[in-house]
Amino acid sequence: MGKPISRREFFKRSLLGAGAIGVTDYSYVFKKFPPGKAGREDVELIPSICEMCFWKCGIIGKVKNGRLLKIEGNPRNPHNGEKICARGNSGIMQLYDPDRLKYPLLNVGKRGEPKWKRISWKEALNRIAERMLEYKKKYGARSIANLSHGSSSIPMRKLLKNFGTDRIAHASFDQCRGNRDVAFELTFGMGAGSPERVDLINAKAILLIGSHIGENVHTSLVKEFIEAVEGRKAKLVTVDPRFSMIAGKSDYWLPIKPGTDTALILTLINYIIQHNLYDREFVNNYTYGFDKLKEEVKNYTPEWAEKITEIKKEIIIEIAELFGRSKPAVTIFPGRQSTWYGNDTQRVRALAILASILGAVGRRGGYFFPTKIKLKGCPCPNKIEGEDFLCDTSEYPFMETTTECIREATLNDEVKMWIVYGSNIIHNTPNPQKTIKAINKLDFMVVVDIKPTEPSLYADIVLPEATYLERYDIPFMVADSRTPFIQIRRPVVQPLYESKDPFYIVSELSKRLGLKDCFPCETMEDYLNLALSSIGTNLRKLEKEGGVYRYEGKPFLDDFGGNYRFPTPTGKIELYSTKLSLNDKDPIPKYEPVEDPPKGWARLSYGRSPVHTFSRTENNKWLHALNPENDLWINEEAAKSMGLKDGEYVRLKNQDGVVSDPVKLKVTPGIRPDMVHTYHGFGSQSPFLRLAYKKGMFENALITKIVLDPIMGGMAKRINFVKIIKDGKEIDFPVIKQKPSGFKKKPEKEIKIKLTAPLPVGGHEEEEGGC
Amino acid sequence: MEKINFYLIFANLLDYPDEKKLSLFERFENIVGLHYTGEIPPLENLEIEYTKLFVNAHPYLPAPPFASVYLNSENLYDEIESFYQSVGYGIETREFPPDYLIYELVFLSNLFNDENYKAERKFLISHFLPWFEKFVKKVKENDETGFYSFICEKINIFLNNRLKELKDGETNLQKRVF
Ligand code: SF4
Repeated sequence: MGKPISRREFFKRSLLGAGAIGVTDYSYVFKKFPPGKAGREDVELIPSICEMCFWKCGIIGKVKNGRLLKIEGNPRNPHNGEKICARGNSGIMQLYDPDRLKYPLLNVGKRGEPKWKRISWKEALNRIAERMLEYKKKYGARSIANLSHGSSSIPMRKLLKNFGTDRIAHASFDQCRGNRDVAFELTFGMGAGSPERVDLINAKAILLIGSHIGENVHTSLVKEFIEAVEGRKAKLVTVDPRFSMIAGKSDYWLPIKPGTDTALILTLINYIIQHNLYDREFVNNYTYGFDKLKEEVKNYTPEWAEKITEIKKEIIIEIAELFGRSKPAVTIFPGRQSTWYGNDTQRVRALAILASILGAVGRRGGYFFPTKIKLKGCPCPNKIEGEDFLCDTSEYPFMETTTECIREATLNDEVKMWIVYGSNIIHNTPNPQKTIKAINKLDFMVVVDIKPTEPSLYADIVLPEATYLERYDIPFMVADSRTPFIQIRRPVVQPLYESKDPFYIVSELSKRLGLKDCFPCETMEDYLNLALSSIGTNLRKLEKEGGVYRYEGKPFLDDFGGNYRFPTPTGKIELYSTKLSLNDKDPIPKYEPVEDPPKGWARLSYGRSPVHTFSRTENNKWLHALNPENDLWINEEAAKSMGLKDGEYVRLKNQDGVVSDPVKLKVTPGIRPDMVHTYHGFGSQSPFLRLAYKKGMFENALITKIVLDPIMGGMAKRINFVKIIKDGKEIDFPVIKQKPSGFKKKPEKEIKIKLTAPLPVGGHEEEEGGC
Repeated sequence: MEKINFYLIFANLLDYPDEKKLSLFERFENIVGLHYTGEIPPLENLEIEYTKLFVNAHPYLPAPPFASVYLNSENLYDEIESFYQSVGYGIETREFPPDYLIYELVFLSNLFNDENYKAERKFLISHFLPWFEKFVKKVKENDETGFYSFICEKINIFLNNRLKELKDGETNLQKRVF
């Protein structure tokens, strides 16, 4: 800090600066009206798109006098209609959260223990641009890396590619659904979609493996699920070592031994082939490599699988027959967060193959196709220097740049600056200890966020982004839908404080970086009008029409006259992957065992809370009230033998000696004894977040061990083991031998429920990537 | 020099510091009748202290300048805006939520200019002072420069006296411009 100044000096200086009348009169804050008549009486209804998670439900903001009063679903949106979830409703509390970032901040203290000074946008952007130009000159553009999450980070990613760096990783690829999408690309030539392209409403049978729909709330998907299962009586098979909410609604619950899912799927494939339950005509017309598949899976019998998976062989057979009977109307749900045990791309490949032999692709009740149309854009061309940088692709042939590549390159001094955009890398990337080590090696770090989350503690400059309720975003084409449409996110209220939208940030930065061909549009409105002109509309017109533009889809094989070429090298669904074969990887999935917990330890599993999104919403006042902390599911029998009681607080210690914050026990028969489970995203380490700080357990700190998927480099996280610590003492988990099991719902009395019209689920552009 | 009312001077001094705003400090001392005896920190230090107390800080933000942090009411924004509207004021800018300290001081300055002492008294009693007192306590506990503690504490004392005057019906304080 500077030296104190004398009183005289103080007034001399301040009066000099002040001029004759130095005060701010704040006359712009209020407007005078006749009493009681202030402002607009009416409530404006403004259509936009939710971003409390990345599902992009259509919303209507009810605004009076510039203040948001309520958020509701947009009935014009073909997916969610009038429905939104608890988080969607609580967007108001994100907008008006007093802990939000409000101004650009410069850290004048230490990394991790910042002392912040508010600075102007001009100063912040000047400083950032100076650093970028300096590092580019000294070390090349690739010395700057970007870690991002969500659609608002797309303009920044484009700008950085134009600047010359491809060290850009998004959490949704390597820590969430990248392996699923790579598996689908390899099999069908296209990703699985987000939302997933599943025609649930017409399904006769549905398979969920590890997907806890209902706890993972995506409004339109849950809606369609309920309708399919409760209304239309589709048979639901849930494979999950935990009795999840959706397991409770299932016809079959298979509490599988963790890590053995691929064994189960390959066995189903084998049984279906051996017993002629597959769709022969479809397989002949649309798939490649069936005979090789048949040969490869022939030893995966139900008897073998019973020993591996601890699921009764009779149940496996019953399910295979159910799928055979129901084909092609079988939804093999592709899953979402899929980075589990290390060889996950192959597990999802097995799912895709199972769906394919049942003929459940491009058919009602199975997967459907996306329908894209071309929109004009405001360009920002890629100008990456030299050869593409893609980590060590020899080992991981389908890897995009991952967080792990960037972490490693930073620890090796190849990267000097990070721009972290909307991504809580301390919570979402395993081994946060390593992330912090890498950060401490950096010369400079910028964080763009709406809240002071953990990464901002380590930033040199923090930029406050406008929330989804205060900004435009690039147009969202929902191409992966049976009823495709285009919708626009627009500001429902003006941005609070000095928060700015992503377009402002990148266009101001690109001016300072001298990037003339990046986003030549003047404003985001110009950008959107240009895009919308391709479909003969504009922003104003679209808003008047409720914010949604629909166009015709071609979701099923019928729409192509039964003549469809899959965008794979062979033009067919690749049961045998030619690309994997070329890259020396198994062209057909095999079962490979994963490490079991050693004696005394249990596997740590995690999932989502129905009212939170990762670590993004724990400080939201309403959502915090609904679910303030995570608890730890532990098997009843195990807890009894360990002397543990429901509701008491314990700590966890992992195999690398990391000890957690206290967490509340939930003792239940609904989980296997060789594992524990908790909700992800709690236990914030950022003291700025006054509600979320240290509430619950920061489970990611316990995920110190990772294995990279050999095909695409995703980070498997469910391979960490824990023990319980109570009153300072370590308690071993007992060895409880599991008999093969599998549960079937007893027939119940029919409950009459009223059906509403079927509501489709669809998908979004891959690039908008949320998890 | 232009005459301005004391609420506006308070608002300037409790807003993000710059040389213009700080030029009012002497007038502030005249209002509260006391000279600041501590050392006056350089502007940059005040900027850092201000950010720490009121904007974002590590390990936590001690004194957010928003009523809703100190009061427990689900409908606070509505209540405040209804009050503003009942006496003929609508918020024109939405840069901050309606419970922002500076907005509330500006609102009080408007009431003062309008000579609407009834509303001024009601707003102080039923809304402003209950949270402002808690806010001042937080500032005093956390301010490392002493500068903001001085300002906040004196404003608090001054406004409590002001309330007494308003209660006693002594309402000719419009003369009190500085
Ligand atoms: S599922 Fe909920 S949080 Fe996600 S976009 Fe829809 S309403 Fe918003």
